[in-house]
Amino acid sequence: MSASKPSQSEYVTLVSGDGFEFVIPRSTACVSGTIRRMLEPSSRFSEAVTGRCVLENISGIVLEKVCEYFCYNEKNKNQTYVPDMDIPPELCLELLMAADYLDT
Amino acid sequence: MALRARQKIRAPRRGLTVTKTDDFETNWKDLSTSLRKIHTKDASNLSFEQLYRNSYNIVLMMRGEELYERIKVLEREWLEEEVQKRVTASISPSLLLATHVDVQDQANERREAGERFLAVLKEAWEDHQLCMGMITDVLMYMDRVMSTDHRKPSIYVVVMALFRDHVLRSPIRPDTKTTVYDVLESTVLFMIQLERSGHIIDRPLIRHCIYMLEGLYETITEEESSKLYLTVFEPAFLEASRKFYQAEGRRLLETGDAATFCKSAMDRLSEETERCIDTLSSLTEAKIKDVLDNELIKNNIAEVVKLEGTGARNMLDNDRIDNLRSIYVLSARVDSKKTPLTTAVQKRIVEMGREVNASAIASAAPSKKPEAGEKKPSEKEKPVNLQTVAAIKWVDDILALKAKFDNIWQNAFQCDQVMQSAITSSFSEFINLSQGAADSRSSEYLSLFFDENLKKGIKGKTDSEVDTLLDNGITLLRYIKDKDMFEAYYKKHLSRRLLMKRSVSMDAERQMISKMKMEVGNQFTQRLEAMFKDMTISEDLTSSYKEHVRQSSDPDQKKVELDINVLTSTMWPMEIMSNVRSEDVQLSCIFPKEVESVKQSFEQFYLGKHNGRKLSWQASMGTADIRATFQRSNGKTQRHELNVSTYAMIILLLFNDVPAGESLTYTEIQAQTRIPDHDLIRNLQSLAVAPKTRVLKKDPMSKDVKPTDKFFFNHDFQSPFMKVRIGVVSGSANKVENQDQRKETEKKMSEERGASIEAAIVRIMKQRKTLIHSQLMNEVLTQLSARFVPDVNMIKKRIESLIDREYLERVEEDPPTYGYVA
Amino acid sequence: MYQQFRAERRQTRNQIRGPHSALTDFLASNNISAAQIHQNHQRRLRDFERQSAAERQGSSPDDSDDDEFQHVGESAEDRKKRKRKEAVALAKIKQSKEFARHKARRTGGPDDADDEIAREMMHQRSQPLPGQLENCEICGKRFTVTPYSKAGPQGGLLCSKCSKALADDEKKPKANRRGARSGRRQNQSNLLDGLAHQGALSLAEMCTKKVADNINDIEEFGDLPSQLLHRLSQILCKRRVLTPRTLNLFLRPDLDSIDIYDAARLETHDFEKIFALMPNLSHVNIRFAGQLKDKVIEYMLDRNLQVKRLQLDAANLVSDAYWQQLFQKLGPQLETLKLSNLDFSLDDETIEVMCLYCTPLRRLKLKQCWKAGNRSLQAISGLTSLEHLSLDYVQEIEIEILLSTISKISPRLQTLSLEGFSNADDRLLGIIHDNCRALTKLRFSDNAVCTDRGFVNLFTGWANPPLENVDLSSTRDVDNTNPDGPKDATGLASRGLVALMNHSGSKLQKLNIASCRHVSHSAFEEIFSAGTTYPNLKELDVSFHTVVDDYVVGRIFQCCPKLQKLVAFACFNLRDAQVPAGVALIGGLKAQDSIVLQGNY
Repeated sequence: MSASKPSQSEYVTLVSGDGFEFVIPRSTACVSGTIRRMLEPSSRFSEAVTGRCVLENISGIVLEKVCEYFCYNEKNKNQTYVPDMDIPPELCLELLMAADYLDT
Repeated sequence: MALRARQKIRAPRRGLTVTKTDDFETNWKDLSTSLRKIHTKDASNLSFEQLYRNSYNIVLMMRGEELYERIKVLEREWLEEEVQKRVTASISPSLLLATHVDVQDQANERREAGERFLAVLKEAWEDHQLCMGMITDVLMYMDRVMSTDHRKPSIYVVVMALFRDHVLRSPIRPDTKTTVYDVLESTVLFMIQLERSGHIIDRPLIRHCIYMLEGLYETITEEESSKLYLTVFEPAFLEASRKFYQAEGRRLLETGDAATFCKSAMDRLSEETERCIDTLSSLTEAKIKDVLDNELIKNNIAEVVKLEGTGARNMLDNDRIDNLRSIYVLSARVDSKKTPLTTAVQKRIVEMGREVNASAIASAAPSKKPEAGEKKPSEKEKPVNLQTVAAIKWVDDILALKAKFDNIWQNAFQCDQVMQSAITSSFSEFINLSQGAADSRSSEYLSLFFDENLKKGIKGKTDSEVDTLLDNGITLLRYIKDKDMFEAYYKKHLSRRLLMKRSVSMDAERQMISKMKMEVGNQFTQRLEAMFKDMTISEDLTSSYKEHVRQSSDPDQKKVELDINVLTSTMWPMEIMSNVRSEDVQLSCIFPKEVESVKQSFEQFYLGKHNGRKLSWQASMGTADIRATFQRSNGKTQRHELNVSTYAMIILLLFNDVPAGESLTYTEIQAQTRIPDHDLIRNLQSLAVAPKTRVLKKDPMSKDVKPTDKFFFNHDFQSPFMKVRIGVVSGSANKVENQDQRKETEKKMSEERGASIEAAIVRIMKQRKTLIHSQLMNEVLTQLSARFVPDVNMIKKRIESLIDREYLERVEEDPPTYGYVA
Repeated sequence: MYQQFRAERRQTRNQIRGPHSALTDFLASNNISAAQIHQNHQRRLRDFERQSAAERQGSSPDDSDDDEFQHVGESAEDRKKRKRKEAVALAKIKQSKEFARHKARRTGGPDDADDEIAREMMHQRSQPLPGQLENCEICGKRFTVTPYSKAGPQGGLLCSKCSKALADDEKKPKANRRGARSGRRQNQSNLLDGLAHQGALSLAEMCTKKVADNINDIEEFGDLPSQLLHRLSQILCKRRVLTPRTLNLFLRPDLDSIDIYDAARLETHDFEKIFALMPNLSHVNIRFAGQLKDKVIEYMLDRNLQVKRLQLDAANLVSDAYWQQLFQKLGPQLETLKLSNLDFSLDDETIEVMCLYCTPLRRLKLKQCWKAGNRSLQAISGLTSLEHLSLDYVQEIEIEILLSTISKISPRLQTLSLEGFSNADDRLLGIIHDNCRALTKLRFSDNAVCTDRGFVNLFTGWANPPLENVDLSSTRDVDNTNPDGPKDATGLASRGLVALMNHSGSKLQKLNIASCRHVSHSAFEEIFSAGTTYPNLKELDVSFHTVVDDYVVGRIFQCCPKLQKLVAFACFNLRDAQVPAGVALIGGLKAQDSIVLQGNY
């Protein structure tokens, strides 16, 4: 507990399987159900303690797009009729897989 | 563009590094060791992502169901081997004793053991919850797939059920059927028992164990109603409480003190509320209160109310507002009618009311014969006043009683409607209670109360004081059922006040009328208002007559001044209007000629104004101011202005024509004046017998007046005052009626009522044409209830009479139905 | 075959005249016909062509090149030079992005149209620069060109006065139309689908759409988990692009389930391929399976698949013999069986066989199976493991048989759906009341016999826990001469609805009472009175309740905090309800209103 408290920083780091790091606001990252649980302070998993999530099976390209989505989602939180985010077709399957994995 | 579109869409692979992870067993091994670490609170080195990915991979391998089953096994083993053992180890033998342990040190020992056990159980449960929360999070992907694709309950729910079965419901030892839950239940109940008998227990600890029971369900679908708390614990708790409060109720009753009972019961109520909030669950609050209501209160409240010496009666007598409030609150909990309490209050009110009635009669008692009027005036004066005083005291007593109960009602009974109507009905009951042989005198007493106050009582009082005084009277009026009776008395008393000008304040009189109007209605005060109207019209009439006389007649003529009140005969009390006994037709009295001429002149004047009316002169009600000259034997002349009744004036004027020293006998006076006997006797008494006003001398000097008595003008009349008021004995002041008068009043009353009833019947039948007997009775009763409570027999008689007179006819026999004959 | 059918249909159509529109009638009465208008138009065109040709010949008889008739009088050299310049400019333009855009706008032109476009653009570009003098296209006045000078209808520039006038004419409606139209159709369409949720779509949903958009470029789905495949199948079927090619994407040997919501484009061998390539199948759901024939069934049975859940829709080329074989073989393992829209086979005898062999069945749905009758219904009562039952019979059945079947199996039922049993009476409701203890979903629709009292009795003092999903739509009296129905209401009416909400209000998630037309306004007011909440209600259908007005709908929104979808078709008193964010109000007059209003002519 004592260890996790100070590390409740505003930003968290997401790391792709191929080593790319993305630093984004905690609230934004928690758009993902999986990451939200990962960072849940009451659990004592290493991610919650360090604020750093290594996502082994997501590539940097995909994770970048995922982070873009997190921001897009956060931005459009309470709006109706949100235009879809632009998704490059060649990424769509991988992104779909990642979205399912991250419960997003 | 085409180039871009053709770019290959990469097919996703599970994991970038497809290496070792493709094997179920490897994945499971990693996962299961990690899960055990979570249980042993060694999770900080674990990566959520890694575990999540493990389970994700397994699910993607289509082995999700297998994973689900293995998790169940893993958890069951953990619970059986670790948790259950830890919990059962904490159960010490003292916890297994029978529930009723009263020996103090054993109780202490048991409590300590219990607290140890509860603490271990609580910790086990909270660990389980925390760990399962973490494990469920890690297995979230599996959960999602299992619940959507396979419609399986969440792993969390399943594992909670495992805790229920493999910890709570496991036997504490292999050789017994007693389960951990049984121990938990008996321990918690024991703790509550301790607290009820005044010990301090660790409430938060119990509350946490209760949380556990609230978090576990009988079924996998987790319906609200299948919480273990509701299915198992609560019934046991309620049953134990039921027994406890049965015993408690008996114990408290044995102490024989109602106040103690009430206080304990109130304390228990708040105690149980608190217990539900702090120790158990708020779900139980309503139910445990039901137990309290039923076992402790409902079963005992009637006896508590009746408790000799300390019950409701004692509280009422001593104005124990606090205790009454408690007993009221308790009663109200179990019975919206609060029957035992209302009965007790009502009974007490009637008792106290009877006392008031009785004391009124007792204080009026010295007049052994109410019709003592025939006796000597000096003797007679006193008892009559006594009675009036008694009447006023009666009203005051009732008002005091009323104030007492109003206070109780407001402060103890929380202004409860049911209580109010009960109190009202009790007041009304004893007020209308017939006193001994006679009927209720309340109407008369009340009217006298008003009379007294309007004549003297309100002198020097402020407006608001007058207001409250009248209001108090009006409240009593509310209780009186026979309002017509009251009206009759009030009318009589009012007429005297008006005609004799005895009222202190006309404002107060009018105020009184408007209050009555508010209370009883327009119809009731109509005639009273008409009386006032007559009075004002008469004033105008008098002055315009005076004007008329001044203009028309001979100014030199020595004239008699006339103040006249013309009264509408139907509006005024009958005894004033027909003071002359109606049965023997009697000629009106002979006025002296001066007066006669004035009378005729006025008649002329009046009938000239209002054609077709008939004036009848009521000499008995009038007064006259005359100037009398007394020739003293020493030659001096003394003049006095005498204020006398009209009859006395007529008598005295006779002596103008009688030479000094001569006398007139009673018979002579009677013959010359034609004043009715009893009026003549009374007037002669006041002129010749009353010690301070002996304008006449009587021979022989006695109190009784006999036909042969002789009367002389008393030239030696002495008075320190210039103006002398000579009252007529009896009849001018409003007093309690004697038996005869009452009979008379009642007779008139019943005639009047008969007429009212007939009027009501005809009104109803005219509207309805035909009506069944019972309905007609009902309608008549409701129509008249505002004025009086009609006697059913009287209504029947009136119906008969109306049929005889062919206003109604019998239409049918069964059911008896009447028709209206137009 | 399809073509032939279309042709036949057209023929028959020619014989049947549809109703005339008011406009047709008006034109005919004024002696105007479409043919005449067409002829007139053609004549005018011809006249114009002839006239312009004559003019051209008159003005520049020697110049055959249309483009160059304006450059009269320049020297041949100049012309050459100019042509060269022009060619360079054209080439430049062709490479520019703007060109691509222009081209994209003119769809379908042949390649040689490129030159034309480029030339047009060049002319546009060659318009006078700011500071030069020019004659106004409309009024002919000479004026100084500014960067803000407007182009006239023919492309020339306008003086400031004329451009202002033009701007006043055009500007407003144009801008408005564009602003209002953005996404409106899409929004309305989403609304009709019940989508009114706030915020962005989930990433998974967005990607799924994107995948569907690009389905033809996808060669395989890789390791995509099966629930995503399921969703993709749904969306592809909805777009009707599930073809033999795209089917292949779904056929992965490691998966144990297949869901195809629209198999209409699949051929017989495609079905065989499914069973050939997916040996682990336990869950099969194929709808519109028109080409699924006997031999596919035979093939499937030969493969010894461990199918536990089977759902087939419109498989009308399967004969009774093969259905029976299927039941005999798969019976002991089948847990779920859903068959629908079968008019060719599946008769009573087949269903009897089914009931004989498929004893472990927990879930059974028979919908619109034309040949099933009383005997089949009787046979179903032998399925002692049933937990979910959904029946929609085409044939008229005997009420006694329905009652006995339901009373036998109802104690274990968790869901019960009975549609179209038009002769079922209050006794059925009584049986449900007496027997059901575990129901969470109840559908009983299209009935004009059961009474309000029956429904009151069903929901009053019912030992069953509160229901989550209730559909009692179209239970009402159907006597057009007496629209208010009899005095003792038929179907779910005011008191029944109150009883239902008292019993199930706390757990109810979906409620459909469309066309239960005897529910009174005051009943709605009572049910949705202030202080009441239905904490779980998400979907509510009150279509054809004419008593529902703005007030009632307002109360509904207040009482149902979780409401997402309110269907209110033909609620004519619903005029201007305030719809909270996140709730889709479907139907109602407002939907049309908003289309008209936002059009803003």
